Amino acid sequence: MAASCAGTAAAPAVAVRSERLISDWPAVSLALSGKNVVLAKSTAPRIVPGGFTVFRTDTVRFPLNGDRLTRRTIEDIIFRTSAGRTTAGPIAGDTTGRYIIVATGSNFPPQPIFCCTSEPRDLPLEPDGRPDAPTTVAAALDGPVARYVLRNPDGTHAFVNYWISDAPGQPFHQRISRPLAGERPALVAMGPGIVATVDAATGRSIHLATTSTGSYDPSGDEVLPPQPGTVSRLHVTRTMVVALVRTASGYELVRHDAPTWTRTVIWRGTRAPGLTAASDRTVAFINGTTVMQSVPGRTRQLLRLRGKLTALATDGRRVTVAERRTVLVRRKKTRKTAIIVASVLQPPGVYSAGGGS
Amino acid sequence: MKRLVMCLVLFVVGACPALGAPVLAIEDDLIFHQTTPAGITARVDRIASTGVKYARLGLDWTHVAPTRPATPDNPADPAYDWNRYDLIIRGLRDRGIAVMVTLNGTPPWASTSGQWSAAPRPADGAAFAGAVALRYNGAFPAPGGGVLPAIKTLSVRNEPNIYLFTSPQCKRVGGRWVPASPQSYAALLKASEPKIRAANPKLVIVAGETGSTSAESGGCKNAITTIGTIEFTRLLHKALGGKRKVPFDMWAQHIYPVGPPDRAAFFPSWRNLPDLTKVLNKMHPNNRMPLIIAETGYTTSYSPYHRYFVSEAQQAQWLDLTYKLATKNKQIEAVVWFNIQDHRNWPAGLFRADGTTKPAFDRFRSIALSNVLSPKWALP
Repeated sequence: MAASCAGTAAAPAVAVRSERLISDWPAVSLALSGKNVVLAKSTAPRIVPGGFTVFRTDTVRFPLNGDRLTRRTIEDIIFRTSAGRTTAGPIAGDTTGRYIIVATGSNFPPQPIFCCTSEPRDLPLEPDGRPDAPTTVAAALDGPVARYVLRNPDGTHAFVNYWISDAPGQPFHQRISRPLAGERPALVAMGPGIVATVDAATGRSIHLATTSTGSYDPSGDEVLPPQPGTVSRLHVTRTMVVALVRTASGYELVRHDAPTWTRTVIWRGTRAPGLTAASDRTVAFINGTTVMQSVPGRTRQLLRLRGKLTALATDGRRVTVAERRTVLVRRKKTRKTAIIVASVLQPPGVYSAGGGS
Repeated sequence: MKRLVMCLVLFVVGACPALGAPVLAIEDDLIFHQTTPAGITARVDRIASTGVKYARLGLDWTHVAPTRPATPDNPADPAYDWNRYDLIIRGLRDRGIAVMVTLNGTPPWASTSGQWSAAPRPADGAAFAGAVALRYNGAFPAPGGGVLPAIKTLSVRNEPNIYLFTSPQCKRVGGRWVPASPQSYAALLKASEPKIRAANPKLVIVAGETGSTSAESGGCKNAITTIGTIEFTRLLHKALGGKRKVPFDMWAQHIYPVGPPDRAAFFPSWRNLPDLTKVLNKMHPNNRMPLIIAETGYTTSYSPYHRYFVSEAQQAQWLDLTYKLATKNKQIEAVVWFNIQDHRNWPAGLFRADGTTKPAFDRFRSIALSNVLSPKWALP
C-alpha cells in the first residue's frame, strides 16, 4: 500500500503492551470500556446430534490491570440465533465498564444491547426482529443514557435516547425517539454528547449536533467545510471529528480538532486503511500490518504486527487490536487470535472513552 | 356439535387435527399489568382474535392479597382484591375461552424472607389456592350479580425450580448446599390439594410448571442455583413419599428449544421429553402422567432470558412443527404458546410490540380454529 503520514515521526514500537490469545479466527469486534477490553466474537457451532447450526456472538470482558490484560474473563452476552450468520458488531464503551453492542448478522436487523444491568445483565434496546425493522446505524453511551440512531425503512432516521437506571428495586427505563433533523444522511457517527452526519446529496459535508441531558439539539449545529471528496468513514468525539475521504488520487484520513475544528490530514494512501478508530483526541488506524496513532500535532507508529488485523479500538489512552496468527500447538499449526493492548504514546490530557471499527 | 361433525368429515380428508389432539392455548403475559376495564378488554379481545378456546393466566397473589386476609380461605374476605382477575376471567369466558390459572408470587406477609419469589408458608399458600378454586368454581357470586366463571386447571406455583420464581432453591445444611425447593414445593402441593378439592372437585390440579432448564443441575452451589428439571422432579417425588398417589392430576413442563423442534437436542426438547415422562410416570397410578406443555415458543429477536432467537418465518414454520410433535405424543393434553405479543423481555409473540401480526399468527389461528376439544377438555 502506497501511503504517507502527514507529520509522521518514526518511532519504535511501544513499550507497554500486553496480549492474550483466543481460539481460532472468529469474526471479532473490540472496544475499551473503563478497566476492560470488551470483545465480541462470532462463531457457528454445529449442534450434534441434532444436526443443525446455531450462529452465536459471545461478548466478554477482559479486565485490565492498568494497561495490561489480566487472565480473567467476564462472560456477558450470549447472542444465539438460527435466523442467519452473526458477524459480531460495533461496540461503544464508556469510562465505567458499561457498553452497547450492536449485534449484527444476516437475516435479522442489527440488535443494540446494553450491558450490564443487575438482573438480567443485558438489556435489548430494540427488540424487533422484522427483516424490515429500523436499523441501528450508530450508538454511544452518555452517562445513564444510551443514545443511538435508527434508519427507518423509508430512509428517514430517528434519534433515540434510552435512559437506563438500575437502582435496586427501582429499575427505570424510558425510551424517547425523535426524527433526526436535516436531510437523510449518508453516514452517521456518534460519540458521548455528539452526533455527526454526512449529507447524502454531496457526501462531503459533515454536520455536528450536540446531545445533552437526553435531548438531541440540532440548534447547536456546526457544519464543517466540505471535504475534497466523498466521506466514506466517520468518527466523532466531543473534541474531534475523523473522516476518511475518497479523493481523486486515493484516500485521505483527516481530523478536525475542536474548538476551531481545524482540518489536518494525518494519512494519505491509494487504498483505504483497513480499520480506523477514534476516541477523545486519539485516532488509531491500520496501515498494512502497522497500527498507527494520531494525537494532536503528531502521527506515529504504535505497533508493528505480522498477522491480519481484524479489529481495532481506542479509548484515547489505550489502543486494542485483534491479530490473526498461526501458532504451533503440540507441533500442529493452530489458528489463534491475539488480543493486544498498548498504551497510546503521549496521551492526551483528557481521557474519555470510545469504541472502534 | 356441528363443528365436530364438520371436523370429522374434514379429518377423513386429512384437513383437521385428530379428535383428542392437544388443546392449543395461548398466554398473554401483559394482561395482568392492565388495571383498567378498557385495558383488560383490549387484551382479552386480542386473545380471542387468535381463535383459542383456552388461555393460560398468571394470577399474581401479591396483586390479590397485598395484606393478610383475616379469613384467607374465604374469597370474599375484604383484604382480597380480585377485581382485575374477575374482569379477565369473565371477559375471556364471554368470548368462549376457558382459563388455565397458574399462581405467581408471594405477598410479603406469607413468607419469612418477604420476597416476591419466596416459597410461601404451605398453610398460607394452600389457603390462597383454595380461595382461588372456590372463587372460580362456577358458582361463586360475581360482584354486581350472576356467578363467576369456572376455571379449568389450577397450578399452585410457576417454575418452582428457578430462583426468579421460587426462592430459595437451595439451603445450607451442615456446611453444604442442598436442594430446598423440591421440599417446599411438595409441602405446598400437599397442603393445597385438600383445599382445592373441597372448593371445586372438578378442578384439574396441575403441578410442575418446571422451567426450561437442563435435566440435572450438578448440585447446589448457592441459594439461587437453578435445579435441573429431571433432578427436581425426582426430588419432588421423593419429598411426596415416592408413591404413585400424588396431590395433583397433571404435570406441566416448559420447553423452549434451541433449534428446530424436531432436532433440538438440549434438554428439555421434544426429542428428549421421554426422559422426563419416564420419571413422571412413576407418579401416576396408570404409569401415564398427563402432560401440559404450559409454555413453549420461539422468540424472534434477542431476549436476555433465552438468548436464542429465530426469524419470523422460522417461528411460523416451527410453530406448525411444534404442534405436530405435540399431537404425536399421546401424553400431551395441551400446548400453550408463550406469549401472544412481543415485549422486550420475551419477543415470542404472534403479534409484534406495535400490534401488527407476524406470519405465525395465521398458522396459530388456523390450528386453534380447528382444535377439537376432547370431552375431558370440554369448557367448564
